[in-house]
Amino acid sequence: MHSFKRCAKSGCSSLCFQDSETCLAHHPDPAAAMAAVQALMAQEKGCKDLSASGAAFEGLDFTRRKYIGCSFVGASFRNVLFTGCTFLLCFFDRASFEACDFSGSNVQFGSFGGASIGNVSFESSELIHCNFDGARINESTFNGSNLYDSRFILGDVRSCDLENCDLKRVYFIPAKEAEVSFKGSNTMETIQDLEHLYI
Amino acid sequence: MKIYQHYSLYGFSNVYLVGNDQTGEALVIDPAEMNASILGHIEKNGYDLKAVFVTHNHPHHVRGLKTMLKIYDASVYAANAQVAGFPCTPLRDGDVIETCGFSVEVYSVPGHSPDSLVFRIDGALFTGDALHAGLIGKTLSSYNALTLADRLKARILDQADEFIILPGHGPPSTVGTERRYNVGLEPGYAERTSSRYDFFV
Repeated sequence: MHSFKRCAKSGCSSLCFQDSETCLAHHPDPAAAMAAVQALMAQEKGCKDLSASGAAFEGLDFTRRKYIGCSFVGASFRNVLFTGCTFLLCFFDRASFEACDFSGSNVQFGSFGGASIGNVSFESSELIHCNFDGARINESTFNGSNLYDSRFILGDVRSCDLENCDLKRVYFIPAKEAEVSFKGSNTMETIQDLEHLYI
Repeated sequence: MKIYQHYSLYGFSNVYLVGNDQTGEALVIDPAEMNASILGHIEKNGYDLKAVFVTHNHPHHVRGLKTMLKIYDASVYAANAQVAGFPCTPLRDGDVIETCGFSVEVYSVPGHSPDSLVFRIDGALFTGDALHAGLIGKTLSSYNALTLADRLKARILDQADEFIILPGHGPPSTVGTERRYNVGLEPGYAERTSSRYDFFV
């Protein structure tokens, strides 16, 4: 699992960045720290236990990599390819994604709580036991994906397609919802109100 | 710390194996079942299973205990002195158990059940049915729901935003996300929902 060590800078409560005693903001050489993290992520085998909270990624290709137990809390991703990637027990809470591709990915037991997701493709993916609570999701597609046991609670979902998806045991109770298409998906098996909770 | 999550179809519960590669020891939280997959993870990593922690004594969180204790000589920790017929070390709020090279902090969070506990190991909070992603545990009364919400706010959600929540059911979360986006912690939730539950597990 990623490290939970706190930044050594007094008054800072952020988590330490990878192989560092401080968070990225207080790192003496943030560019070098980011380059090291990108190199770890780009390894063909992927990586485990990465601490990349607050990192910024742009224009990168991590296609078909595997990530386990990593933290990307508060990170930003712009034009990043995660096509065909595997993510197990990874955390993207409060991260922002813009024009990214997760199509054909396998995300199990992941958290995107409070994330900002715009123009992102999750098409034909396994998104099992994933937490999208509080996420603001715009202009994105989940078509053809398996979202078993995932949650969309108190979020804001607009102009999104969840067509031909497996939505069994999905909690879909966003605070705001507009122009969301569920064509061909088993919405009868979702939980869409607080009267029918199964846990 | 290495965490392996297993999804049990019995009660749709999460079983967690927490391993320490330095000591070669491991513990299990909520043994909903014991099957070849969990056994394989323990053996593949060469772990010596030393302890089993139970967040609360509901069948779909402890059904695998009997099989687990047939294979491994593990100590069992729970709020009660006995779980599924096996003697336990009773835990109380504020206890800290040193095992497998970990410090396991114990928080009493009654509401879903009187014996509900949350365990913290480093920055990982194993919340059982007290707290799930976006929801709090089911309760039998609005009083219990309010008690649970108050207790969660005071003891669990006062922790660091980045600490991770690993619940007894459903996906993981973080403390920061639950503090902001949990319907069970919203004003009026308990009064609105408790009397309308149609199913209790």
